Amino acid sequence: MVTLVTSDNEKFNAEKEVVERSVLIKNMLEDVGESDQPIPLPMFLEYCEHHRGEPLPAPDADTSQDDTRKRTTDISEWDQKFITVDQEMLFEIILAANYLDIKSLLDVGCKTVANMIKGKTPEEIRKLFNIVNDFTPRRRCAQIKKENEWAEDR
Amino acid sequence: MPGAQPSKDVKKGSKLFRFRKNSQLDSLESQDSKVTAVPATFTLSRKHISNLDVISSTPTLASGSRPSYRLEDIPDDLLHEIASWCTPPTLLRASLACKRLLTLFHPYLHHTIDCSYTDLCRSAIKIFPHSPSTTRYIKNLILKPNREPSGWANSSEKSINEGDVLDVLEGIASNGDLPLLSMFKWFGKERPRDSFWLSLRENCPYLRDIGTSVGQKTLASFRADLELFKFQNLQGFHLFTQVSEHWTMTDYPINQDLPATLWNMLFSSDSLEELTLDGTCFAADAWNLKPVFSGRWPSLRKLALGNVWIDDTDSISDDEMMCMFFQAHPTLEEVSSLGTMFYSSEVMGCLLSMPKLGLYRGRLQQLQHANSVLSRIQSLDLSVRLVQPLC
Repeated sequence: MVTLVTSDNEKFNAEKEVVERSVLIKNMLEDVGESDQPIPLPMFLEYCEHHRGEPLPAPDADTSQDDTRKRTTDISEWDQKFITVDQEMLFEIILAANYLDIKSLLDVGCKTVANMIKGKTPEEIRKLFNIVNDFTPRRRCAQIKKENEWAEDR
Repeated sequence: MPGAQPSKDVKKGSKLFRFRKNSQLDSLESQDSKVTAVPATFTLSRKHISNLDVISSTPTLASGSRPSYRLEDIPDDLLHEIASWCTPPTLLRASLACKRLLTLFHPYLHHTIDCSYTDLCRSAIKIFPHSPSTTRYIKNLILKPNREPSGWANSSEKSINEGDVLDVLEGIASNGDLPLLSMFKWFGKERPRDSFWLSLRENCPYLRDIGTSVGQKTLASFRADLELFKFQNLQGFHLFTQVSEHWTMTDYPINQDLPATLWNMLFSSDSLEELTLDGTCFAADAWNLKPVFSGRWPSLRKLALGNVWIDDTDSISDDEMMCMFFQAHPTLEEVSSLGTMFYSSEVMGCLLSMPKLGLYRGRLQQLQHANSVLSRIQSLDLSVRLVQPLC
């Protein structure tokens, strides 16, 4: 059993087996260390609890497998519900998953963002992420489109 | 604003936390001994449960958009992660949003290039020689010259010289500008000249998945010493005979044996995951594919066979041989039978009871014999192209 302490001193107890889905925490348990990284802690614990018992990825899992295997953006029903949050929370989860090094949660978060962008125009994507269009002149856009004709929806 | 209130609550959930390992405790064992003081099972406090309930009922931003995160807040490595899940059309549109996304998404945009009809091949061979910054990212390249978006090109005016396309590619490869190429599939009217495969093999060290169509002119010219059959440790190999025109098959020998060098190349590729051997254009069987059933590939996931010649005189042992093959490949996820390829009901039984099989593609008639096992399969693709007697 390990104790996670929030900045306002709220304590959460969780089994080591559960929180070790985070490679960061797993490593921390091995070396003494502290961190002040903000993370949505209850959600993290809920996620790890739900996925308890599932095999953890091998420490040096070969990422080249991603290239050869067709990667699917499908998300399991539970994960889908879990990740249905507002955008700010979604990015906090992604940042936390990245920081805590939980590959499966990071994937769920990034797939969700990918699905959000899917089918949107560049202008809609700008709106979604508060992006300022910094392409000058406009012609550049046309050129990029032309060069990547094959990538357009058919 | 409907989305605002719940999200405020959600914010409460994101507490600054510090992980604290009691440093005065020397080992995890001694930490475990403290367990008695805390509940044995982990529970969320009621407060947080209610927050989570709120979260679940909060609409996604996609519908109740309240853009609050600025792109600047998202580090590059996470944008890379996100890009890796996007399809080319999405990557292209995101790249057009701003310069930063263009820079970050550009490599992913060029991982897989599918030139699925003539005009795309034409513009690719115009652009590629001048864009090493593009071609150096290409991992998967699929070219379908002499096709229209709707199917095969009919008009010869619009056709493209396949030799020219190959010249350009060979030039790029020998400049070292296709360093990451790992998959190359060619759907031309004829298969590429043999020296092309040598060039690719010498200049693309990661090339492990190759496929080519075989045309009427090149079908009869499979020699044992082809460069095409000298690859090693392949992950994917694909041969298909899809044609645009009616072939005249008067002089073509059917049930032709494929060279032993091809089989040796396949049999020694232990990590083969995908295999296509398809001679569907013939009313009769083009190739004798029977040797495939003596292959054993521990990672085989996708198998597509067309017109396997089956020796009628000895059909019982053929069935056994095929069943043994399928039982030896529990990793199979997708199996397709193309053209007039036909499995006996016994073999269909073996096939459809494969533990990982998620997709079977084939003729409707095949399933008449498979009622008992159909309940096990998740998806069936019966929207098969009409098998027309092309030849």
